[in-house]
Amino acid sequence: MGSNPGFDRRVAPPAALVVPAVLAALASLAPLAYLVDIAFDRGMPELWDELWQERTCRLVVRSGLLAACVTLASVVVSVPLAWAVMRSDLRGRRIWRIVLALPLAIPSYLAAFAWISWAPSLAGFWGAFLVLTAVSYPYVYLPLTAAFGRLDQSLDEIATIHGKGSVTRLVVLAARQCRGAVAGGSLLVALYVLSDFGAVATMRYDAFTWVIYGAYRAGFNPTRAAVLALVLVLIALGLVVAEAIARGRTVSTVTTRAVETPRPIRLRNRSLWFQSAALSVSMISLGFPVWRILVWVDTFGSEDGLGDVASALWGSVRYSLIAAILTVLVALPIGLLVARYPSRTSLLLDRATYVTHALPGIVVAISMVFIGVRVLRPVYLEAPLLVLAYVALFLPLAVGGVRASAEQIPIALDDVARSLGKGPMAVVRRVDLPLIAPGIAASTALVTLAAMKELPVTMLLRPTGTETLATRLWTYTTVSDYAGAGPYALAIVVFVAIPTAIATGRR
Amino acid sequence: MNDAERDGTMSDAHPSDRPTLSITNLSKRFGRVDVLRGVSFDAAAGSVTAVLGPSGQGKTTLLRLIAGFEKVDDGSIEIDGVLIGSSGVHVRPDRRGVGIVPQDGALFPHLDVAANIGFGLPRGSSTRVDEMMHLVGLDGMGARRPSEISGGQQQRVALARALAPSPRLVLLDEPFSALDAGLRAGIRDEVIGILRRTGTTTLLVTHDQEEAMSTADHVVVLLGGVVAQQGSPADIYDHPASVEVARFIGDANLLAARSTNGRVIHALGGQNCDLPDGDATVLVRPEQLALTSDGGRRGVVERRAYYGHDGTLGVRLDNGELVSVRVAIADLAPVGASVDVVMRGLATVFGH
Repeated sequence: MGSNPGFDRRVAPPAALVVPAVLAALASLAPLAYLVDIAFDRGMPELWDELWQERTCRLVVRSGLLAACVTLASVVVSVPLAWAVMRSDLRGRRIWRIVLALPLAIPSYLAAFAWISWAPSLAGFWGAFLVLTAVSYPYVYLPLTAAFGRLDQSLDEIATIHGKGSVTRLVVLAARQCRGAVAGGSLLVALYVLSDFGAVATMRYDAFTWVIYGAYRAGFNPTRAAVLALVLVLIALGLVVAEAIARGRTVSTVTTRAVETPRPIRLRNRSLWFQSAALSVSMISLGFPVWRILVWVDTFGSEDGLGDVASALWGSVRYSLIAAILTVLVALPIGLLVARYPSRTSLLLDRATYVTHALPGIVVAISMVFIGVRVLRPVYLEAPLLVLAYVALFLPLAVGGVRASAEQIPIALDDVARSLGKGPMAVVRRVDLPLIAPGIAASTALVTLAAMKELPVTMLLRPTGTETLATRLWTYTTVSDYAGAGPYALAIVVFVAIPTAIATGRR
Repeated sequence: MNDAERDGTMSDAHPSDRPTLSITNLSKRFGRVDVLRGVSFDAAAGSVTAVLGPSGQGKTTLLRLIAGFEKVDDGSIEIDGVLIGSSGVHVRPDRRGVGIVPQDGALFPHLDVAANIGFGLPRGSSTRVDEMMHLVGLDGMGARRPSEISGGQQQRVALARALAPSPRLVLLDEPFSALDAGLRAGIRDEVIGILRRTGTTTLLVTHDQEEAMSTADHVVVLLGGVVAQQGSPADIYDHPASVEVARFIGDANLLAARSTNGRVIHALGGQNCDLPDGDATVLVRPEQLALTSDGGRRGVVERRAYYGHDGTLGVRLDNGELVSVRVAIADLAPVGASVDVVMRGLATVFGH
């Protein structure tokens, strides 16, 4: 029983939810809309002129090459490690499983700072490749561990029976069964690389985001910045569509039924190989950056005192927290609508908020600069515009959190409350909100942390005179003052990366 | 009106003439699927009506339409003579005065027992809450959390919560199926007892025919989204309207038969009928069959089930048909034994 048949004729949702949800979704589309407007501002000829240049073409190649290499490397790193921690008898696999996911919490510019401060010659493609692989491989590793965990054990047994028992072949076989997870994770890595600003900027690699920033800095050519940003958005969109098509074709052999804990496969003499692989990956992605930061803080000493770091921390926390609270408030009607009144329209609203999330931070930043200069002049380079940009950027994160916790509440509770004489909004107030309060708190924390480590939007839109941890670190890194950057890097690890790791780990 | 008064005056009161709930020609589609087609029935004031049917036959949809959680496509729903749902009218669920007790209780986990019961009442109705806790036998448990009480107690809290605002009708959605088999009958009798004592018009949705037969005044059998039959439990058991209903309600022996010249003949006898000549099916209940020492139909025991108070034998008759025979423990013959089966009373005849 309790089947929930088609939702097309369900009773309509209350206007008190629909109206704010529609407004929020429309507002979240503003950055993209403005970008299109700027690109076409000077007419089609100018647009084509900007587009059809050799350097644009080179840019596509350079960004594409970086994205392809990092994605490939992430798969190569993730497949054996995810397999070893989920399917084999690797020693300490429970701890490895967590440790190997941690690099996700490290902002790319932080890792880039650690590497370039040690070896300035890394600047360019190889530096960007190394740093981006180190921080983004968990996007493949995490879904893959989940998929390996659900993988039917009998496949291993069949493979062994057929004499394909060598460890390498088992790994390849398992990865083939989970190619959906590999594809999904690869997409995330590729999108991460395309939209990353911190690593390519620190490494001075002429990828899209860095060049867009340059065009903006040059100041006189908004069309070029907007056109390049749109090309980047189109590439990202193309990737998403390609992955969706590829995913639609694959037949999953992952079982949905509960699988008994698989019997781990013995690694025997291969164990050492996997141990050293896990160790090197976590050393490169975690150990090394932390060690470098500690070295800079310890040995050199900074001109900036504790007071400067504290005021930058306050700058980070203040706007991030305000933005997080506002973001969650804006996300509530959309999240509740999607969870409680699922329909094509409410799903569309949900998707609309993701559009901005798919835009690279630097693109959102530039678009918000345009909006600030043209429409919201009074708040340009003031706190409200920065907060609005954060809201647009992190709205889907909050919507996802609200939606996930609202979907945990049985719909029967709403029904019962209605039958007891409560109107739809009274049900939201007295049943839904109290029950999703923990989810709301968690979403607020996650958005706060995400905003605290955000770089490009913060850099371009922070109120005049305000410094945050990320902008301080960036400023010192750009002038190669690594000793000056050290304390801020440490503060980011302590106040952002570690809480992020804990917050995501608890989910 | 408080419940003490009702207890005294309504316990053996005759239901009034006008039905509390009146459903006429109700239809509902989801996409291309007809979930309900032309469903009509009434629920008399103060009575217990059971909507009985296997899973996925539209029972829950019917209940959701009455509660107002779905909109009516066609037909009408009236409560106390007032139209609350039709293709053009949809009274909001919070204005229908229909209480609901869902399958798993669906207590609000963030509220204690007293706050759950008082949810539908105006603030400061603590006397009524105490009254309701007393009614369902949970005195003094108001401060407990739903997670701290047993499944049976949760179900009683859900009942008290539904009854607190004095609804005109209470809907029970498979309210006992989540309970342990051992507790089920006890809680069921208690809940139905409370509903009868308070004179509450009740609609019980269930797939359990024993539950429907033993508790309801009126049973509506819902098969494939249509009312296959309705009537008193005895009516439906003794005179099922179709082979499908017969098979669904109770244990049924369906035997091949043939009618000729106004008489139908089957393996265990014959009787008069008003069917045209041709093939037919007869229904014989297991308790209509018995073992005999002379003159029965010969057969061999194939299956044997012991229930304590009595038992059943599966007997393969010499014409190849398998029948179930309810017997006293003394007659519970061993598998392989040769027995004679005789029928008492009349079979129910279905034409083809």
